[in-house]
Amino acid sequence: MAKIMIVDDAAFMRMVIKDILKKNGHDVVAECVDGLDAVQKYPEVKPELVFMDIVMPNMEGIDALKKIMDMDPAAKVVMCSSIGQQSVVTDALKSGAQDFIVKPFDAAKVMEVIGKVM
Amino acid sequence: MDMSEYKDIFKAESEEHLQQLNESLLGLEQNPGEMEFINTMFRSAHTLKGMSATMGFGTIAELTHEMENLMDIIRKCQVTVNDSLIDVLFECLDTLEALVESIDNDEEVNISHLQATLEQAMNSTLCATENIAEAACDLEASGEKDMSSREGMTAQGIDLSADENASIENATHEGCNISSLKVTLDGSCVLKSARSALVLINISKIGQIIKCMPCETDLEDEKFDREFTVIYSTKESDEKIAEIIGRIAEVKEIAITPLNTCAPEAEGHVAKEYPACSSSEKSTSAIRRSDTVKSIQSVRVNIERLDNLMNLVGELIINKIRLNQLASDLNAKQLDESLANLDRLTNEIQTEVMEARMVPIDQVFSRFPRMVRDLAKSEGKQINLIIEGKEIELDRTVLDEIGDPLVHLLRNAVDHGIEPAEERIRLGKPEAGFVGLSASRQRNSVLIEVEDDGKGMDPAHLKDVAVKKGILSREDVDKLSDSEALNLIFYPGFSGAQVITDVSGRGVGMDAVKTKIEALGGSVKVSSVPGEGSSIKLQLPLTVAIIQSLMVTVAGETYAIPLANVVRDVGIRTEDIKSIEGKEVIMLRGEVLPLLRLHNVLDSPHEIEEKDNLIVVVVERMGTNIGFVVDQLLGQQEVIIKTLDNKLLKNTKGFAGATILGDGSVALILDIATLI
Repeated sequence: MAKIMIVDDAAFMRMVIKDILKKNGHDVVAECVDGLDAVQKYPEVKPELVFMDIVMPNMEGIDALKKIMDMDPAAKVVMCSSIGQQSVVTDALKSGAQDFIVKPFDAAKVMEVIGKVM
Repeated sequence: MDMSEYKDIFKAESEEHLQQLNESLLGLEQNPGEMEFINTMFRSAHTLKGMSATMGFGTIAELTHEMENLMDIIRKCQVTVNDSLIDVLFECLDTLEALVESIDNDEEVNISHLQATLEQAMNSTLCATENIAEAACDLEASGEKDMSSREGMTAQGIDLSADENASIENATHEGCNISSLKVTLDGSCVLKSARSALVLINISKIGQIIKCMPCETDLEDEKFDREFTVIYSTKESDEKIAEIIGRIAEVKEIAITPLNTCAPEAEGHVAKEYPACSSSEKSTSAIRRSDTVKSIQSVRVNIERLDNLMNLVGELIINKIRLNQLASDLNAKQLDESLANLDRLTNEIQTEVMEARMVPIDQVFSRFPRMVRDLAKSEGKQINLIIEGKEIELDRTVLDEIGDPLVHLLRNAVDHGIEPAEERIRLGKPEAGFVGLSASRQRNSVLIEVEDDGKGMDPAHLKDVAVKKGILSREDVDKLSDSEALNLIFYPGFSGAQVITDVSGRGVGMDAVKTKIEALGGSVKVSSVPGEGSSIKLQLPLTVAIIQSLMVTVAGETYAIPLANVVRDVGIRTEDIKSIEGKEVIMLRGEVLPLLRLHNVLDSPHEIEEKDNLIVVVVERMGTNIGFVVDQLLGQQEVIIKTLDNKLLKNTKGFAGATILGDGSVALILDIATLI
């Protein structure tokens, strides 16, 4: 069981991924509505894993990722991307993201990624 | 995965994004060069795409994907959007709205036509931009480069450039193993380019990549099937490489073939295959993260829940009143303190629940800019819609009801109020008409005002129309003051416009607006200066669940009259009652007040004894006053409305609902608008 923080501006996406995580015994310790929120909550919550959306208002996922990696080089961040965002995902991976998942989320894939990353 | 349970939240959130898209598009229409609108639209379209793909709504995903692409092109190339593009985008939004609306009934909405239009718009946008032409050139050039770089590869062996050979030699001298890693990705892998990038990033942490096949550019462009090969030098063992790659998701297989012979464990050109291993069990002693869990700030609650809660609070209050009454009947002093506490607590709960039901009025206001824009465009008028007080909060139920009346008022303002541009210029007014929509909080109510600087309403003209339509006689209208004449617009069947357009003439008249607002316990006031404009003010209660009422008894029964309708109460003498055309009236402060015996109106079976002195409650209806004769005034009281919405009583006219009194008896709440 891992303590996971979800960052996505869409409540719907947060709910979907949260349900997947909860059904598989993980603990969602925080939900953030944008990158800024994530950067603020990360040090408070200290999650073991972050699911980070990419396109968000206020602060994009890639910037939030960089800020979190600066704060905690051991942070484990998985990017949540859509099809058509190869280059951003690649940039995120170069900036320290551990892995990525692609919408629409497949529960098995999400669990595979968690298994590999943790 | 069963997604049906997410339908509600998907819908609610999609609607929010559609609203955002609409607002941004309106903003963009005003400032075509403003990139922030484009960025916002890009984000919303993108989010919608991800959400709908998750739900399996392919058509929505497809359309939003194309919109997202278009936005991306616009912002990357700094294109200034033109009118036709805006129109296409509005069409997209309407279609999306329809698509989101239809997710419940599995209707197929054909978007192929729209896609074609969208593509055409996209192409014309592209043509208009030189930047893009260059970008396209770049793209082609890089494509050619890719092709040339691929020529270096042969079917069997590996062609290495001089540089690459030099790197291998260096690495060998340093005691590194040179191997060829063949990585095969999972069949289900979607973002192959990013997946391959992750492999490259991870292995370059423990070694050096000498060559990639296909080359990195091709990997990034997904110009490969499931496999790619890396010529790689490292001091680490093959097992370590396999472990590193194995920790990456979606990797199906890794084949490691040693290339240099100097490595001690080399076994010729035999590839060792490692299935992608699952992650090694992590020791539980790993960093204990802090246990502080931050709670979530808000939750979405179904409005039905809040209705139920409100109902329960109502019941609680009724029981509290009964308890109070019992305690005073029994003279039980010991109960006083706890009853006072109960009093305070129920009041607090009531306030909290009422607050929870409050939503910003923006939820209704936000759709008007688009509506007014479309309306103004279709009539060739220019209109500045100024909205104020969007943050004011109202009860959800009230909010749901005021949408239609406001649509009507705004349509009237645009359609009948604002003059055509050329006429405005002739009159010395600014070319663009002003329409204001504002909300402000009064003590116990919210005031909404719709105003315009158009032609206003002429009392004399309104009187003429009323006579022509047979609503009032010439004699009657001549008695009306100018402000009373304005109230003529609220009579059923009255329409101020000579020509009924398809815009305003939709059968919802001002009378419907007034009836609706009054049914909510509110009031409507109109004022106008000919040539300068009109203003309609709606006074609305903060909530409809609890209303202030005047409690009266008629023939032994208790009734509640909403205080919003009550003008005053007076005592009269029976001998002062006069009769006009067989109807009872009384002269009150110089005015003729029609009298109605409430027990007759209600068809009460009890006989009433004639008294010398009568109590009259004066109520206001459609701008005129009527006196209700009642037996007794009980006083003013807050009552909790229980609606008569079951099948048997649904069509009962004259009653807004019922309420339970402190002694447990039921009192009907009169609805003045439908009673007479």
